Amino acid sequence: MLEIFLKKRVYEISHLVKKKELSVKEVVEFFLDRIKKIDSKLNAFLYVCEKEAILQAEEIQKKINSGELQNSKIAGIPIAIKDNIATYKIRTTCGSKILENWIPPYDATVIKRIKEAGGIIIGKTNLDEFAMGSSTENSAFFPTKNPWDLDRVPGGSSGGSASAVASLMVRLSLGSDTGGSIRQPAGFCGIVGLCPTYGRVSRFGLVAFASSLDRIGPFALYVDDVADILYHIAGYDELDSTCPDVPVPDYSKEISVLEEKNHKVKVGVIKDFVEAEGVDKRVKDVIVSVANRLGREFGFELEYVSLPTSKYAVPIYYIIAPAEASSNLARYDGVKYGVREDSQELSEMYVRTRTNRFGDEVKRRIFIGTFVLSSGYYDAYYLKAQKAITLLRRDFDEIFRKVDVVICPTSPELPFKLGEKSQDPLKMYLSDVFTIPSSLAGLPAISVPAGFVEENGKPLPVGLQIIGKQFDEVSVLYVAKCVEKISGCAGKIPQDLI
Amino acid sequence: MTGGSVGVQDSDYELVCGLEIHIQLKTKTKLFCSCPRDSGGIPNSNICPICVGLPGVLPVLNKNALVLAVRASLLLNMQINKKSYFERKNYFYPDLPKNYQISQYRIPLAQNGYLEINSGKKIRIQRLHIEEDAGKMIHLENMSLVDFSRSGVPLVEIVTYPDISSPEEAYEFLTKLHKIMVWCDVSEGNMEEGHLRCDVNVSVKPKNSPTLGTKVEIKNVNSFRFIREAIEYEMKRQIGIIKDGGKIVQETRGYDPIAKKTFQMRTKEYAHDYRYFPEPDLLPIVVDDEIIEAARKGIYELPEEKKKKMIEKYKISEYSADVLSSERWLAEFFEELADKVENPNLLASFILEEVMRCHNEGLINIKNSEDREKVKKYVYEVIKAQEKGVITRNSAKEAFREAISQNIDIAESIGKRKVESEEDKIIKAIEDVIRENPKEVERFKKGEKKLLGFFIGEVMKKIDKKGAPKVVKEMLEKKLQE
Repeated sequence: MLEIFLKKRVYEISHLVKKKELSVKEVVEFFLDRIKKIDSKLNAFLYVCEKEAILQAEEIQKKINSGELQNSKIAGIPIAIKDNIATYKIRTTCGSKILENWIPPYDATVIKRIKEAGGIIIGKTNLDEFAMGSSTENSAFFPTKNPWDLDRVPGGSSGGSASAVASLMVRLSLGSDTGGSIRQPAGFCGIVGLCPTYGRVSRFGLVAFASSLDRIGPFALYVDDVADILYHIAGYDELDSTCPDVPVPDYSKEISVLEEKNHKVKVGVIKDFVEAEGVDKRVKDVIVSVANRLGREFGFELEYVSLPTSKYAVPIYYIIAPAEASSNLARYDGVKYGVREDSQELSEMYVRTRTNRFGDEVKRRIFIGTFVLSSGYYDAYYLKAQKAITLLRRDFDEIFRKVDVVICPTSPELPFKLGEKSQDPLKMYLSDVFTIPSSLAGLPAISVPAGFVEENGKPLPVGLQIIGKQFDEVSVLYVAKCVEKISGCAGKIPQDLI
Repeated sequence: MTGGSVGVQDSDYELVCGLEIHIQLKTKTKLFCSCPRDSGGIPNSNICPICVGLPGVLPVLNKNALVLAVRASLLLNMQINKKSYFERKNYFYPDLPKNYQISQYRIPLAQNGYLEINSGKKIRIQRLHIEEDAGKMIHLENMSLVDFSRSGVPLVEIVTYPDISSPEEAYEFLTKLHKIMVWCDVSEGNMEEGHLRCDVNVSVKPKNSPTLGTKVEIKNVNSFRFIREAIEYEMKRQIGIIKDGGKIVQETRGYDPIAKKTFQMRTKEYAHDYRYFPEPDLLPIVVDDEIIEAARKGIYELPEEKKKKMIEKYKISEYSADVLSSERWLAEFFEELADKVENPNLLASFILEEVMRCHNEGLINIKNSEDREKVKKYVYEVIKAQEKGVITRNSAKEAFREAISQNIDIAESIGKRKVESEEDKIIKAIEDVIRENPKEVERFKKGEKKLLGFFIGEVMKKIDKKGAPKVVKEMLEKKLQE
């Protein structure tokens, strides 16, 4: 059984279900068993929807028996959802004490689409509170651990979703990425994490952190799997004005067409990132070696490119994201939903609720955001940051005139230890230094396992990031698949979890 | 006013007044979600995850609200920005579910317009923008409740320049603004429901002084009449303070219509920092030709033009024209018929007397298009019958009322009252009159034609004046020539 669930692609497992060689219940129970066995060590889940998943399994089995869902690539597949995506009747906390009792009366668009395609919501995964963080230590409930080394963080903010896939508690999960929250944990956990073009996937139902940067994307063990779930969740949504009507290709089909003709792409290697001072030499070596093999083994043309404005990316991000967050999080006031800390005075009720229920990192960002939007400071911070984004986009445009995709390390370092950075916000912010530029530019980007580095006898994964042109997920996925073939890391999970 | 320096008159001061008006747009649904706009009824019965700002929801602009806002801008002769955008206005209040209001700030939908009042004076308009309404607070003895049914209802905010220099001008401006917005379907304009709300900025200064006085804002006044009174009072209050050597405090005041006085609501206006920034969940507002065309479609001939046309083209009285042009559906109802009848005056009085009565009694609803077509046909028939003289004014009314209230065909109703149906009676009366007055008949036949009047009178007496004189006359002439 384990062999099937570890080695087969998601669409193949779904195919077995549709052919009735496996029942939906068998699939769901296999993963529920793994969660029961493993999650107490990792704490990836905030809530496991055992009953709901079994009910859904029965419903989907009925549909399959009556011949429905034949075109779905994910029918019968359990999927874990980051707990900042609204799930109808299933508690959605955003990893925050202020929403610890909130049960959404509606489904996010991605959830609706997963359900329509016969996917099964198996649980809600842990995250940094309101997706603010890079280690999942900012969860108001508990930290999640990295399956490769329980002393290390899984990355963040989608640490729960990454850890769950990397430990084979699920084959698919959804995360959200504002400044690297899918790619960095995918890199830290040795799995594939895709952050699609801004607007490729509807945000309706994703609890907003920074609206102009937030994106939903999938985690999986294989590139094929993220391609297939993207196919089901992407596309126009009338409920999201920023989600345009751009046709959704059958990604895995498009990729295999490129594979068949051994399509050559031009790959830019971001010099500024590979050669940056703070990059761990071991990480750099893995990335450079994979890059060179892309040239040698696939005949891709490599070019070192420069992204000069990228040095401003982190400061820009820490103006724009907190500014939007300060406004997005204003609604948590104890009036309508979530938790209220009672008081006789309205203003005191606001203050007590928000003081007691928001964590430090959330408060820090609300303060920063409130400050940069204040009258007299708006032009110097927010407006200037917006202008800088325009320059950054121009830099990318310039590069994409010469190459099809660019690559760089996902993170400058190996997964760090729990507690290592949690007292130093600036250090924590810098762990997203390579993912933030494409976040600001709204470009599609993926992290794919590139290799492992041994530390204290434990293999630790290294992620490689591939960034593509707007809505060109196909090239990004195609190159990711090539990297997957070179590295041989796909489908690897820690030995003790097999 | 009491006290004051000797010799200084109230008339030595002048009023400087500007208005901020919120108008609810007449859309089917709210500004950013698909809840019905009409927010009456049980509190919180008309809400959805979007208009209460639940975590994760997003706004999507109601295009029809944009069309109506553009129409309002056109009606106010404004420059429309081809591209503008929404911003978030951040402040905490329990009736504001997201604790920010989606509004416009740096670039409004339209700017620089005017509305001309009766005197010919143009009140200039600074800006017009689109925004969402908030919910309503209900304060009870020891708790406050929030009703979010109104949350997300589409509004335009219109800001005038301080061009208003008398309470009467403010009243006139608002009345006219209200009328044209309702006329062109921009707003339902229901004042009780708060479809048009107005804040007033009032200051006074010595006549011809170039420096403006300190302004006071009067909020939450819910009728145009009260606004006029509030400005009147406030003007006198401020002049009184200045004459007494005092200073006007910048503050927000309310108006008590019973005491006919403004009163202090809050002083030292807390300097709000709304931290406006562009709304990232919405695309820029682009006013393209398609939107402009849709907006123009609703711009009808305005009430004053209509009235003028009625007087000139149909020669009806100013009074009738005034009433008939008070509402667009009524004016159009009249005009559509006036082109078909010979006597528009007869039509005007029939509409004002009988049709409106039936409408007000609820027997018919001319605003409803189905009723309207039927009623138009009925009115046309009775007017024609009256013009032909086959029916009297009174029986025309009776026939109309009978046809609509008892669902009888109008032709039948008219038929019953036609002089024709009493033809026998008339013929009999004529024959009687001829028989009873042989001498007069003789004289008539010899050429004394003026005796016709005498015969008509005699016949009318016999039929209790229930016939149309014209018909009686025709029939008499015919008989007398036999």
